[in-house]
Amino acid sequence: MKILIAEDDPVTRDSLNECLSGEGFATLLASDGNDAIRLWRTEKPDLACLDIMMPDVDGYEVCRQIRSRDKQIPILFLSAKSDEIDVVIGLEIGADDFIRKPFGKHELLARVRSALRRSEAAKAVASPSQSTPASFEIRGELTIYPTQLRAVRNSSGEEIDLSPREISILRVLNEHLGEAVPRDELLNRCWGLNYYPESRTLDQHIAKLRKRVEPGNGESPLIETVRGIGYRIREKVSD
Amino acid sequence: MIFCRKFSLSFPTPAIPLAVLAVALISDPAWADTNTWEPSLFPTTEPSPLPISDEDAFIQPIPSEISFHTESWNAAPSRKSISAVEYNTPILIGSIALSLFLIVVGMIGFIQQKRALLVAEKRVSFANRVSHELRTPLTNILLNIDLISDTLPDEADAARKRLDLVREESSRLNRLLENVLTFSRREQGAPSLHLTACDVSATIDEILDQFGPALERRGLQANRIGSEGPLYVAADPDALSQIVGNLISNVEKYAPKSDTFDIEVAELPKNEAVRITVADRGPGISRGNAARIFRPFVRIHDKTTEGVSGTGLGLAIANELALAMNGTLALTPTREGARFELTLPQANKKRTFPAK
Repeated sequence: MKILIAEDDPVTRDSLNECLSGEGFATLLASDGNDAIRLWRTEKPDLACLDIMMPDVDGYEVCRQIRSRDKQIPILFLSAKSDEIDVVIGLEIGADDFIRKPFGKHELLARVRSALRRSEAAKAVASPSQSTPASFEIRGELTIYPTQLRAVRNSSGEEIDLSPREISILRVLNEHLGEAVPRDELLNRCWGLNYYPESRTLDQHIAKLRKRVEPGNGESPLIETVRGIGYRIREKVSD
Repeated sequence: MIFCRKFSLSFPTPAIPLAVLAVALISDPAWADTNTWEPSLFPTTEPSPLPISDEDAFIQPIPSEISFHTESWNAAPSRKSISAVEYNTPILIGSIALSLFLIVVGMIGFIQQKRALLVAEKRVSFANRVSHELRTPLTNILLNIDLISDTLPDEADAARKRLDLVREESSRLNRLLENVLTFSRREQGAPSLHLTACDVSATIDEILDQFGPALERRGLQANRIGSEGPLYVAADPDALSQIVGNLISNVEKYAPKSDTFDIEVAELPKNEAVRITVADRGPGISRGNAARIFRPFVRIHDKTTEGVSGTGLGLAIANELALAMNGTLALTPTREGARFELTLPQANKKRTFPAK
């Protein structure tokens, strides 16, 4: 999933990039409005995060231009302007959400995820032929909906938010159900060959993922560590 | 609203000299008539006596006999017109000078007023802009704290604690910013509030959570009294959080270390209101200062308390917001410490209310 980030402050831009790409989103970075419109035309992102106060072409104008051609793409404003009137203008010209600065990583991710989910739901309504979103099941316990960035626990119906990175880890492990997947393969397939994350990155992601998906009631754990090799999801133990 | 205020301030100033000039011009023919009498009173010795001042012009023309009067009317028409010009000139010049003087004074006044208004506006927009500008670095700090926390190894507890401290301080900075912004918005006009049903208990829990680490560091413990369940008031959720936050921030600043403070929520069925009381056992506020504390920029414990910072805006804003939400904020006398009572109208859940 590609996310366009238009922000003139370089530190904020980098931090946003880090937050989103760390979770497995592909990012497109623009430092002003013109850049943002150009990137939107050429790269067709799935979501746009726009700062309002940018040199030359401001976020409102970018939003107007994108909206005049594309009614679907979710647009989020990230802005220090937080007077009610600014929020109202933002939503009036077609933004989906308005995140007021200052915000933290978790708020950002939650809002990005929910905007993407809403747009996926809208797409499903628009084209009923694909009304059942692509999904895959793990051990009959979890159903993963990659386009909606969520999983559903089959036993309880509980919904779990997942990042694109976490979904790709689950997908790779599920493809090799019952086998240990080497760390290198996980890193290559989930982070890409050109990316060399620190050695701990994978472990941290797995730790976070476990917190979310493990039933945590003493049942057999979903993701197992295979010492010296990597990780695996064991086949369902039938009793 | 701003426009109206500007208009009413600036309108009368230029109007005054213009009105004076108009009066002077309209009344001119009357002056001309009076002055034509003069030459017949003092026939030839002084051909054209210039009146020394406006008063002379008034005194001189009074005729002693009625015959003079008729004579003046029978005088040669050419002389009449000449004298009219001669005697009108100084008066005309005088009235024009007076009008010009008044116009200049008016203009100076007008320009000064406009400049003062501009300065005031600039100051407000400056506060606005600065607060907005400050939000960007604050965002960067918060985002990066989150990024660091996520990459820290699990065993780095000490580092994580430090980061929590930074995060907490950032949110304090944000609170200060919000106060400054609310204040500058108030200077520009009324703050816009949207009253909905807010759960008081949940708001208090949330604020206490935010202040948790800071209170813990000073050994302060909140003693919750009264209803723990949901209790709804008609309020703007952000404004309610801001008021409660400002009150607890004062407790955190002024209450003695390792003590408890009370937060009481009580239903007042008779008034259909809910009262939130925040009371500490700190130095309190003397009777003499009680009236001043709700004014902006007033800080009572400015010198006495070491290491306590603030803008002196917290209570002023809390009071202002409470009033705007049809409520009250009052300092109630107690034996020790400070005791603030916030009263807000009770609400049924899921109802909206018009703001004042």
